[in-house]
Amino acid sequence: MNLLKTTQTALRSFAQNPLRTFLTLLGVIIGVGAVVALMSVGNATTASVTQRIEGLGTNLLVVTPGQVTQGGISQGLGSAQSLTMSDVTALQQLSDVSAVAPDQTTRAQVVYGDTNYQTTLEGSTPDLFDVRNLELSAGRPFNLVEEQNAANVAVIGTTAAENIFGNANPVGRTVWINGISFQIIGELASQGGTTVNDDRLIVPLSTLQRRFTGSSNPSTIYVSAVSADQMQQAQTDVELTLRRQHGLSFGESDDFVITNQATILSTLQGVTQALQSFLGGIAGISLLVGGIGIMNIMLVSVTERTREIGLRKALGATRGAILRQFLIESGLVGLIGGVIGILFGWVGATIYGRVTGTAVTLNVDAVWIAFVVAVVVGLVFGIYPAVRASRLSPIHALRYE
Amino acid sequence: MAILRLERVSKWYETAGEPFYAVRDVSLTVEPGEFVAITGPSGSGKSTMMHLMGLLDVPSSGEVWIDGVQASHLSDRELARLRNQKVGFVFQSFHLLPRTAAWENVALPLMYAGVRAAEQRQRAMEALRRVGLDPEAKGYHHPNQLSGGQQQRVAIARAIVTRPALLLADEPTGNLDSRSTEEILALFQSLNDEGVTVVIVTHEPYVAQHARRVIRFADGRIVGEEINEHPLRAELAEVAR
Ligand SMILES: Nc1ncnc2c1ncn2[C@@H]1O[C@H](COP(=O)(O)OP(=O)(O)OP(=O)(O)O)[C@@H](O)[C@H]1O
Ligand SMILES: [Mg+2]
Repeated sequence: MNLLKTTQTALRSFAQNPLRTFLTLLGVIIGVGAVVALMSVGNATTASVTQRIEGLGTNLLVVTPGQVTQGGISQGLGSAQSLTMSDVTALQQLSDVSAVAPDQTTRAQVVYGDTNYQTTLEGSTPDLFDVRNLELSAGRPFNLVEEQNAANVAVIGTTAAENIFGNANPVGRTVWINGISFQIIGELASQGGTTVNDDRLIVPLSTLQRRFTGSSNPSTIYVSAVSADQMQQAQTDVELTLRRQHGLSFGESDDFVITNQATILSTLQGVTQALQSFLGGIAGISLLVGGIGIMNIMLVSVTERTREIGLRKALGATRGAILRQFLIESGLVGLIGGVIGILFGWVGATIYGRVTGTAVTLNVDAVWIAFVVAVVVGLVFGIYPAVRASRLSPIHALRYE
Repeated sequence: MAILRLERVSKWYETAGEPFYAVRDVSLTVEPGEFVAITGPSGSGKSTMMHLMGLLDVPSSGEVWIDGVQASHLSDRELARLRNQKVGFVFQSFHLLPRTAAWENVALPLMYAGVRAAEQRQRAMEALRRVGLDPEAKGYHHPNQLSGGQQQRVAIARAIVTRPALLLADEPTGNLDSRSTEEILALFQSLNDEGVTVVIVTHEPYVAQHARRVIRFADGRIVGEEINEHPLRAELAEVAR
């Protein structure tokens, strides 16, 4: 009894019941499609986020205030006002640090003509443009003189510019920020990724402190190490300097947090891994449901074809031959469903990529894993119905009407 | 050596605590080349008996030999092989696979016999020709495109395709009109002439008159047996397509 003939028989039995076959396949298609689409999209998203983080610059250290504990109650990260301008000066003295940019943000109302726009107002020193790799698409960044004189000049992000000026060139125009007039001197190139980074105005730190926040404590200090090799050393030096600055004695914990690209990446990887296994779990459950669907339909099929099974046994089919016939049928459901599912998953991932503008590539691992799992699910859930079929007594089957 | 031997064979079913005997203590020997008819009223156990003879069913007690082989000693695999090689079955309701070409129906036993695909087709076509069906004209028809008589001939072709020594038929003419009945009986007789042993289960006296040996069944027992010195000869008057 050859495989080809059995496969032919199985395919014919599918053709005889197109709707039923389709419904059986559907479970597998959805399961496999989900695995392939989710894994591909997951990979693409991870890749694009990773790229964006790497775009921050490999030499970047980000210093933020630590958490304040008041009477044993933690106030949350960044709640402290522990960073000062003298910290900034101290950090600038370090030999393995090339640039330091203190930074503060607030929300502000920008008015231009009839347009009223709420956005983020960021204050920093001219070093920010180096430290954060900020490119300008038009105009110029503010300079040290403007920073020292607290000049009313601003560099605008693309999203903010679009919302305020539409398609017009923002450079050279004057806007009112919280009632104070500012001249736009430059426009940032788009940062890519989320629009958050493009929806802001950057002004000199002294201007922000004097006219808006009234506080001289930076909320973030960006530090650029001289080279990637010296990152580790720079981070240690920054930590020691700040501890000395803050008068922390041995055994006291830091009242600030230093983050570098590596720690951000590893946090991200943890998150994406958790997300991937969550999605994988959902996809796995849908495959399981698909498998139960296969079993259900195969059991119906065995009952419906009791007479056929009896006849085949009367003509000399062994238990093994009947078992094989039904296993091949359920295995084929898995195989065909797997192939269609991969196509659907791929189409789904591609559409997602088009809509979100992410570069989605087919996750090859997910494809073959999903495929193998689909066939195995088909075979495993086909075992019980196939065994039932093979055990039918020929006369019971022949008398069955 | 007898082609078929039953010794004190019984088959009972457990119903409401009491055993119900469908076949009770039957002993019977069929020699090669015989043409036997088994008759009896409905429910007398004829079909059960035929299933036991063809190793489709296992007796509750007693022994069955086919061509000298004792069935109770065989595994499921060996039983399947014996059914495949030694016995051909013909049923009242034909039992052809629907939506499957006639020749493929005929080739089924060959598939289980492990015959190569090319040879399967050739032998199936040969068997169709033997039962009076033109393989080219009817071989590719599906059962629902054939008349009852033609379907039964396809079923007979399937029964003889492995060239078994024993042909077992349960009411093979039960669903056929008189002309088709005549054709099928003529076919059985000509196969018997070639040396195939034929056992036909029937409740029609006219059909039984075509057999040399008639066994009467009642309540699961053999109640009588007679030899027809001059069995009726079915005439293949017109060759129907
Ligand atoms: N699985 C079963 N359980 C209980 N009784 C059964 C079973 N199978 C058959 N019988 C009984 O065995 C008896 C013989 O049945 P069988 O089919 O052999 O009769 P038959 O002579 O072929 O009748 P007919 O001419 O109507 O085909 C019947 O009374 C039937 O009800
Ligand atoms: Mg009967």
